[in-house]
Amino acid sequence: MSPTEEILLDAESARWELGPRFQDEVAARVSEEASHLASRHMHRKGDGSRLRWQRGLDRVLTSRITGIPAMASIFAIVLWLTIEGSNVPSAMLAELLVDTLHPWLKAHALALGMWAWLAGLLIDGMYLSGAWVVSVMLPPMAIFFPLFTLLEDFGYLPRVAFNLDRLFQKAGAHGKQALTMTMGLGCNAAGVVATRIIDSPRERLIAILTNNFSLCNGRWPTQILMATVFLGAVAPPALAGVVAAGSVFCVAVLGFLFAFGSSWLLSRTVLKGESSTFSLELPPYRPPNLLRTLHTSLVDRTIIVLWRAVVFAVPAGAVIWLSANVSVSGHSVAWWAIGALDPLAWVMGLTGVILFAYVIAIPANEIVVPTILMLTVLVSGTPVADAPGVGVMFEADDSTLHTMLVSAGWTTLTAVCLMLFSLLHNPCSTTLYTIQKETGNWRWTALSAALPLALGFLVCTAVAFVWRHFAG
Amino acid sequence: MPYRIGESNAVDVLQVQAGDALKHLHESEYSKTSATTASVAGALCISLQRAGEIVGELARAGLADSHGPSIQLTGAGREEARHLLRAHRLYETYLANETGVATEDWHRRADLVEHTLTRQEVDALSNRLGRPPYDPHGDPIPTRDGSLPPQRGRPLLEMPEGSSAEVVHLEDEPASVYRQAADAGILPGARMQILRRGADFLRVAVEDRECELPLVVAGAIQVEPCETPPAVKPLSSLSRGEFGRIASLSATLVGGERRRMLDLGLVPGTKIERDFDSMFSSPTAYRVRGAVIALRREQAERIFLEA
Repeated sequence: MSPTEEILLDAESARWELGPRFQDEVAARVSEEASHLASRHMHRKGDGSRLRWQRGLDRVLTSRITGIPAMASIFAIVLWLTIEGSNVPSAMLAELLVDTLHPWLKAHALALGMWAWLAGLLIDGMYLSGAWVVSVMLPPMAIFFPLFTLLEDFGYLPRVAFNLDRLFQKAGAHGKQALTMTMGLGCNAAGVVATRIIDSPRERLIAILTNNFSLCNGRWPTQILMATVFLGAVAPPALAGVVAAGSVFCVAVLGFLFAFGSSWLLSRTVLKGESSTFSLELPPYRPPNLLRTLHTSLVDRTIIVLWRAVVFAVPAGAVIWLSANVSVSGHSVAWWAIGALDPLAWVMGLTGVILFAYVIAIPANEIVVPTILMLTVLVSGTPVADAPGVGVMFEADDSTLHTMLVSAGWTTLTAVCLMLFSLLHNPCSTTLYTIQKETGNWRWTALSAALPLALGFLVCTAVAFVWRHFAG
Repeated sequence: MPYRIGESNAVDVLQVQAGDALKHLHESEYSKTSATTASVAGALCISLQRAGEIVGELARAGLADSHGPSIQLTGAGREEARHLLRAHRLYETYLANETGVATEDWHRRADLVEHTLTRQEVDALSNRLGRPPYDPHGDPIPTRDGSLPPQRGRPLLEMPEGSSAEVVHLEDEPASVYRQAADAGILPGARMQILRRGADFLRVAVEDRECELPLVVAGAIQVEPCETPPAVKPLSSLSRGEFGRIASLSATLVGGERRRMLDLGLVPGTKIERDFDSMFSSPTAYRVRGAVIALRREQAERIFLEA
């Protein structure tokens, strides 16, 4: 008999002698050995108690009185830095990719004798959509993700999970979902990937299916635009800014409430089960490693997410352009589709243009507003000073926009419902693709789209009904 | 992965009942009691007539033999029963270690799945789980060639008042009896002291509390005598800044949950301090071996300190 066989036989015969608690025994010995090694080879300074400032900081960041304001202000600062900080680089990228390179490409393509329809499809459709996504998405992500990683490295994020775990437990979810939800504020696709930190598959699925309720970066511009142009405008001028900012904040908070509510619902229906064990190490606070932070957040999060978004945006650009330029019985495909969607949209307090924009701009929430504007011009035929050719997405300044949208029949109700629908609709295709990859299951992916869509329909319809009942 | 959340596997009722009858015969053989048509009917909660039909079918299939009133397994029947047992216990181990499925659902789910797993799938599951010898209830999992250790323990009801015993086995059928014992913290590995035997109950001290077990529950428990367990108090009873020394983990901490606690270094003899609470008072941060670990109250109530 060979030595290997002998060992195997020994092991086999010991199988029933070790007893069911053998694992306990092994774990105890491992711990004992580890602390023995540590005490022999490590020198400890002081008496081994935690540093006083660390304790103090924990008291402040996790107490009932100061914990929540601290958390709210930290995330408010991160979001403010992201939104404000990305304005300038976004404008520069748009200047370069959209305002300079786009006409240049178009002019040269036509000069080289390319057919106009092909130039339209490739440059006005595909190129512009990709360029738009890059210029709108890249700067906020390149700011948000490093900030987020800094908070993670510093040790603050585990404290957030620690603080909010009780609420998540009541909803049948895991405390670490707090982290994936805040990650979702940057990008839902990244939030979905981040759910890997949750061990239990049931709670991980809940976190994946509800991540879309975190208002992502791509939707903040829509919210801010609607809040400024419509809601701020109905308030007294002195309060306009506060009303606008406040309403966006309310929508984001509403998103968190929907996330809790649907987690609760899921854990009592399709994802029944007990909330599993929660054990979380709260690491000591330590200064983050800046280089590593930049590397992980830019390479692992920003670039991957951006690449996926571009991959989806480019073909969608073609679809958007084609929908505006291919005619059936004298009208563009978009015109027909918008007409068909109009009755449903009216019930929801929206317009056919908005619903159709959400259908064709599924790759990225960032291109929803430009698509809406393009379609509005296409349908109403209102000439706008700086509107480019048919099927070409564009943006405009606030007052031009207001005039244009009001003449297309928009009211304050439309703006409110658009803000709600922007929060409560299917995830973008990048996120859906990520959900499919992470769950490996089409049914969960379908549910992740159906759940917020159903909620969006219900909420918008209810708001429109009540609004119309009281306003007229 | 054999486990699917939110889906139930459609299984042939007849096949399930035949399988359950086989397992009952095996259990009787293993605990050296005799099985009859009546005991099959009782174990499966079916009519005597139906039980007779099932036994007849098993006999025709060459899986069981009856001599007079008692029914025995044939070699093939034993092999089949141990395959089912192996599938059932491995699947329970899988649910306990790798999913968030609630403890009381393990048995039911495993009962459904055991009939659908092929021998290859069961082997793959065993390999994936690291070939565990015991399931989360402390019951031995038959090996691939069907080996099982001899039955351990004796009935709890045979233990005299004042003696101490460690639970080695708990019948998982009927479910209500299992649930009552589990709710009282009486699972394999739990140590208890028998305090008093009443007319229809048994009073025992288990971990940090005392409880009265109905005799039908106590009758489903197999124990081994052990030394008197030391007095303990739960970790959650520490006040802020207070220290304690871990005595044991509750027997209700099983599977992945137990492994996680052990991996964090929460092993007997470890010094632990309650550091600070979160804003909703659960979870609480504890200091252990130089690290700060947050545990929910439900977990801290199941970790015991030397009193």
